[in-house]
Amino acid sequence: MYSTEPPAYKGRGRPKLGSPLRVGGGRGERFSRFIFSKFINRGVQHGKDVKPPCLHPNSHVCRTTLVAHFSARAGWRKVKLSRRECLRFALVAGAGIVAGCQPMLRRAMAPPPLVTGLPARKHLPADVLWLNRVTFGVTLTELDRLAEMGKIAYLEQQLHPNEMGEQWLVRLRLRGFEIFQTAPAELGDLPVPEVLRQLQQHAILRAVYSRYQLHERMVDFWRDHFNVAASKGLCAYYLPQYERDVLRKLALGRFPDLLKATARSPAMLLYLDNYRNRRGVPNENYARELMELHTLGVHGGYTQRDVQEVARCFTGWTVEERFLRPRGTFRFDPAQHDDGEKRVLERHIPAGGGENDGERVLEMLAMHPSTAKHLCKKLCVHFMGHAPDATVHRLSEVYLSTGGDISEVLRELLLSEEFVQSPPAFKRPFDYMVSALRALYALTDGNRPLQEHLEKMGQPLYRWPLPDGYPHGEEAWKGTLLARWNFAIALCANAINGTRVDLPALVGKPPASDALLQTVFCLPPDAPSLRSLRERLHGTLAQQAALILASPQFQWR
Amino acid sequence: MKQTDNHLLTRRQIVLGGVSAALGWLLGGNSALAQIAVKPPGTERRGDVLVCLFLRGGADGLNMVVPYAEDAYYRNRPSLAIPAPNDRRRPANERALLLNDLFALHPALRPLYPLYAEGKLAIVHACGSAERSRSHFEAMSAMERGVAEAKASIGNGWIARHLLSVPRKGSSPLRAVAFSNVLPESLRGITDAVVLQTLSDFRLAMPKSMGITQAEELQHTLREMYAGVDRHGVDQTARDTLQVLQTLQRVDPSRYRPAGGAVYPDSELGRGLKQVAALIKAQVGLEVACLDKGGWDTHVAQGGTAGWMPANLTDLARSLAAFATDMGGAMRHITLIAMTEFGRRVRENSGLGTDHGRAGVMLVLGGGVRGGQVYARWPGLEPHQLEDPGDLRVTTDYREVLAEVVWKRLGNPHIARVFPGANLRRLGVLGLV
Repeated sequence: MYSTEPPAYKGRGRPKLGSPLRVGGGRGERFSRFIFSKFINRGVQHGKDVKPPCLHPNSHVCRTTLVAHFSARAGWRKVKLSRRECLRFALVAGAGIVAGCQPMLRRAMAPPPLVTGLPARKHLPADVLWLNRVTFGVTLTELDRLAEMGKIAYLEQQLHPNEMGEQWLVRLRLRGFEIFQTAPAELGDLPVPEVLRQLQQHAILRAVYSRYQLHERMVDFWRDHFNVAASKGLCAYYLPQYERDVLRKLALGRFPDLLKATARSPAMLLYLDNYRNRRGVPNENYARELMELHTLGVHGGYTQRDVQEVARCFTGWTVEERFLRPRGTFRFDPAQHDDGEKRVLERHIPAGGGENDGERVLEMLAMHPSTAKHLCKKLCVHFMGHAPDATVHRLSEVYLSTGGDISEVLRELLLSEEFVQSPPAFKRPFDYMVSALRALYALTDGNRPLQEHLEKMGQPLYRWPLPDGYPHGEEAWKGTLLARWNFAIALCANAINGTRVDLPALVGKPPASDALLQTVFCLPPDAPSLRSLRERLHGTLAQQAALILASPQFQWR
Repeated sequence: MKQTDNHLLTRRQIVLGGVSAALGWLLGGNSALAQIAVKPPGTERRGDVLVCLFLRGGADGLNMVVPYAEDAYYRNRPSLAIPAPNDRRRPANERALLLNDLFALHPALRPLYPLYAEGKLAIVHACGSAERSRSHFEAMSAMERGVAEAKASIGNGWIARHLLSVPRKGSSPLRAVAFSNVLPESLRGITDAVVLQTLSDFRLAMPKSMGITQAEELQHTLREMYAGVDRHGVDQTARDTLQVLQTLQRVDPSRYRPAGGAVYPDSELGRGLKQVAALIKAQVGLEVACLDKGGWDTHVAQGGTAGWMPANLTDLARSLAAFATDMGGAMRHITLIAMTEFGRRVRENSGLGTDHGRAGVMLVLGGGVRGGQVYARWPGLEPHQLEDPGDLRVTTDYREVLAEVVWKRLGNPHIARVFPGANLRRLGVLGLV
């Protein structure tokens, strides 16, 4: 890793830690001072022992390692690094990073073996179920975190996602996506399948490894609620920006803000044709789906007349495509806006409102009681599989009294009694796949081979062709059981390129069926729900694991 | 359709078996179908095999089957209209193909023209549901559930109700197949509908590293595991899935070769229909196959004789024509319906597309169809003849078409159970099949 030759030390004795660098004014020296002040000094302050480099996911250990090597060989006093030395250092360090990152990443993403033999881990089944529904899948690590923090603190942390709180190797891995570093209008060089590959890879990596699981589940929710199908026109190129700056950024904020952001996003303007919505010849597509799917719900109390009026309000909301302007951004075109008076949902919108017409409609719709009900119902189904009327009613009240604060609604829902008492909810293919990867602490790159399995299960992300998003429930998904079984087999047999599970490291040598059950379900292996499964487990470790993931017990949460 | 309940072979069955066996032999030893040319027990034919093709997004019926005799059509569509068959100003390959004194076929549908001329293809115009929301989802949901409007409380699909209302013949797990990502709503409500993307995917893939040499062993364990689960019919689905696996082990769909020189386009629809053909020929008890073709929501840049929608039409026509050629004489026992949730507005919009409208077109293809006709109670396209805000009126309930097919071609007399609440006085009035 960092064992390659560092710059030659020409001084004497052991360097004193933390002593200031004395360097001259050359450009190379300024660079080296930058390097030292940026990386080395910070590491020194931690002052940790030297460990075998980079076996531990904690970032400061690795920094210390860097320092240790450096400090052992190089003197701190009167160090003078030439430009050549600096370059050499950079080259060596760069090579080290390139060579070292892959295994580091793997180790960082997969915690060390957990259950060997059968330690006495006892957790409340209610907590297991709670976590299983809040996250993409309960793991022993997650359960320990919950036990350590307590439910309230854990939930608060989940409601406040922070990019810096992710493991640094996860962050590092997520930084490499070309689609997120390029403006949508410039992305056209990439073929659409490549954009989709990266989008899905990004979504899978986050869903599997993110610390902020609730945030990821909400992003998944909004991805369906505000579905934009990559197959339509140029939408695929606007999806990365849409996902990052709209859905992901506002996933746990106020719904009115999110709604407004989607209305102005080029992805949505293109998908539902509002970019062509002009004075005199309105295009109703966005207006209709806005009320039917995004806000009021189909029986939310609007008429065909409302659809036409709302379409008029959004005339002129389009995407910039003029020469020498920021292409592919939102633009309000007053010349194409119908500035007459309108009447939406029995309310008068005076003439001459301009861009505010649309804003007013969005505010009106976002805080409409039908929207509260529609949204809360969908949230219930997303997290618990069904929506009891009483819960929906209570959540709607929270929604309306907090100005559409999603976090408040989630707090109410996730801490409610019925959240852990409602009947089992059938996992959708994406939930199923991610929960399996998490349960077995798989190392995955989330690349095409894995994505192909998701497609066979019927849920390729970003590819649902209609604006209503992927459905929920057994009826919609039970037809692809075979694809789930095939995924379970392939995962446990390490037959998915780019994805690895290390079962012996996870649970020891066979017979380890009990440890396996405990790792996957986080329940004691003699739990009543696992009894019939436990009796049928046989064969090698991989076969047992495949049977567990293919079992009915793992299809519901 | 006469039902034969005894298992003695009739003369017709013996002849059919002999013919198909001979055909199999002629096709050559490498066709897996040859090995199973004799029907497995319990899959006697009750009625036709139904192939239900849903054109999703609202296909523009007015440009598929053009009312060329209407001036209003050309007035409303200055750039999208298809030139009339007798329009000498335009090259012949851009003109619509004459069907009768009112209608003509879009030139991209040319491959269907011989089928129409032979009387195998019938066209129903100005048909649709009573659902006026003009929402894709509501309109699709209404049609797939076989109800007048989406707000109807009936939750299961019309094909599901058809299969539920006839006594089950045999135990074929491949009774109802959907080539799709998710179970279509028309098949919701039966537990034995199978969702496939491709036939050859339908097996348990066993990596060598797994160390299982016998797939049967794993299948056995899975069957046991799912036997006790009773939630939303998942246990039944699991059982049927395992049964299908065994069935398909005898058929190798990847080696299927179409008959009669048929060439399926390399499109999702073409591949889908090819697999339906393979399943029908394999005689594994297929009763219903559902397929989708999307991309009809042409709000922008629809294209008149060239472009987006014509490309869709070309694929549709070539796929259906290849299917008819491939099935040959067997089309006598097949009925294919192509339907869409609604037609599109008469007037083209500023984006050179069309917005959601009302009445559309249905195609019915099969040996038992009285084809060569356009069935339409034509409402006209003049402003006073249209429905607000400028849409072709629905004068034929789409269920009249479906009900006739279910009754006369699928041999199911329980129309009231398949289409509860539908106005049955008109049943058979069309005389379509």
